[in-house]
Formats: sequence, structure tokens, C-alpha cells
Amino acid sequence: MSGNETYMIGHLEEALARDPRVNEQGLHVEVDEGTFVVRGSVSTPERRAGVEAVAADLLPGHPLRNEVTVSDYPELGEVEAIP
Amino acid sequence: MIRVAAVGDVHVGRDSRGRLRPHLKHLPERADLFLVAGDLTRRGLPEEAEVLAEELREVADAVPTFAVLGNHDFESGREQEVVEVLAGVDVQVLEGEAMVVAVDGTTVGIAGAKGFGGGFPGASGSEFGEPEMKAFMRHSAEAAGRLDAALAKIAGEDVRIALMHYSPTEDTLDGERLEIYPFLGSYFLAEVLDRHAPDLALHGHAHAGSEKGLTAAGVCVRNVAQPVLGRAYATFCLDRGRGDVACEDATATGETGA
Repeated sequence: MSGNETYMIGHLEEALARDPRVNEQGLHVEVDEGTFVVRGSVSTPERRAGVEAVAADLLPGHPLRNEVTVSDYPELGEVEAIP
Repeated sequence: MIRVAAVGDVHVGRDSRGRLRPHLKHLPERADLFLVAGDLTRRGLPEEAEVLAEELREVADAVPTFAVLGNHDFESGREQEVVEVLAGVDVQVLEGEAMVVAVDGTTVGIAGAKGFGGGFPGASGSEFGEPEMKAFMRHSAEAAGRLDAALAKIAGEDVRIALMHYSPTEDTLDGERLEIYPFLGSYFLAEVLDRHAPDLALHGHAHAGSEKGLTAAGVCVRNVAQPVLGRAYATFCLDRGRGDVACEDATATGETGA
């Protein structure tokens, strides 16, 4: 990975946190043979699509693999007794 | 016996309508109160709070519901409007404040404060150097001070719960990158908890952390960030107070189960 790619990772993570289309601080970016790969989870399909829009604006022409998932948390009946 | 449902980091936006409410359907049967540990919204906009208010309306009608704000809720500088929108559906946001509810004759005090980062012993910031660094650490100390004030108000209650957004302990950060611990919590909060020894301390914020921890003096800490829970909310049972049903009985009979 080039130095330039290292900084691009940082800037993309920053943009994903700040951009209103995503606003997610917990996404991680790596570069795999020239392709930027974003991983993590967001709350809605709109925010998942936002990942691609933000990356396209920031890194035009760079290939992107969006591995971000949309979380869906079921209601479970587990109870923890606090001692 | 007191049953507490809790979750943090729901990050509700205008695109979240209908995504939370279906997963809270059974909460009123399973819990006596509901606590939300900050990052209520995505950007801290009143219109996002309107969506959240609708998602929480039925639950808040059924059980007392309290929240603290998280860092996301400050993004737009309109956090007071967020608080007011939620108050409209009886979701009370606490910051340096406490509320007491009675459950079958047992008083439950909830002390709320957002908290802040700063770090943990051996890897903590100091109020030293540039004004920006001093301001960061001063905010951390002030945030802990607000938790202290809130806990002092519920000293005499049968059950006492501390509700924060930031973590008081490294235990519940396990899974996060070590480098970001100072942005995830502060030991100032744990010091306050140890001084008051509440029955339970809840926080969110650390999405890649872990559920269970303790402060140095043994206060029970739970990270209820939704991505950590992997479920809609956690439910805790505390064998305290005057009720005649024990947690063990309730869980055995399925009263609090699925």
C-alpha cells in the first residue's frame, strides 16, 4: 500500500463519520490490491448506499467494495440477573 | 425485583422511521423501566428526534423511559430541541439530573450524565498544555462532576442506576482499538461510581466493545450499545427492594423471558 493510499484511508474514514449521508464513526477502510474496502455496519439501507456516494465524491475513479452491512437487532427475551 | 431494559446508540435518523418500534413490542411486559444510553439520533436534529419520539411513544406510555444524550446528539448544536421533542412523549433526558420512580413500592433512582472521553490510568490526557487540550480534559472532569451531582440526589433510594453514554471502565471497551480508548471514556466516571456504589452503571458509545465490566471497587458496568448487544435491548433484573418475586423465579417462569 502506498503512503498516499494510507492517507486516503484516513480521509475516507473521516468523511464517513462526518458526511450526513453516513455519519458512522465505526466503519473501517482497508485497501485490497488497489480496491478500497469498507467494512462495518450502519442502521439503514440509505446509509449503506451513502458509503458509496461519499467514497465516489472523495475518491473519484478509485474502485470500492462496500462490505458494510445493515444492522437489524431482534427483540430477544434474555434476562441477566445483576448480583 | 426490578427489571430494567436498556439500549444505547440507536442513531435514529429521518431514514429510521418504523425500524425501531417493531423490536420494542414486548418491552413493556418485560421491564419496569427503559433506559437509553445516548446517541439517540444520527446528527442531533429535532426532526430526527421527532422520528425517535414516534418510535418510542408506545413504550414510553407504558413504562417510565429515561435517556442521556450522546456525542451524535450534539452534532448540530440543537441538543436542547432534541430534549424538548423527546419530553413531548415522556422520554426524560437527564444531564446531571436524577429521577425517582416507584415500582411496587420500591424506589428506583436513575442518575444520568453523558460523561466524556479522557482515558484511563496510564493512558489518560491531562489538563496541561494547549488551551484545546485543557478544554478537552476540563470537559471530562465537569462531565464526571455532573454524574456525581446526579448520584448524590438518589443516595437514599432502594435501587440506584447510573446512566451514561461514555464508558467508565476499560473492561467494556475490550474489542475496540486501544488507540481510541481515550475517546471512549474516562476513569473520572469510575471514580464517581465507586464513591456512590450504585447497583448498576450503564453506558453505550463503544460499538466494538464488550458487554460486561466492573469498576475498581466492583460497581457492575454494562455496555448496552446496540451493536454490542446484537439485540434490540438488554434486560437486567435486580433482586432489590420490597417486591416478593425474585429474579430467579421470574426468569424460571418465563415472566421476563421471550
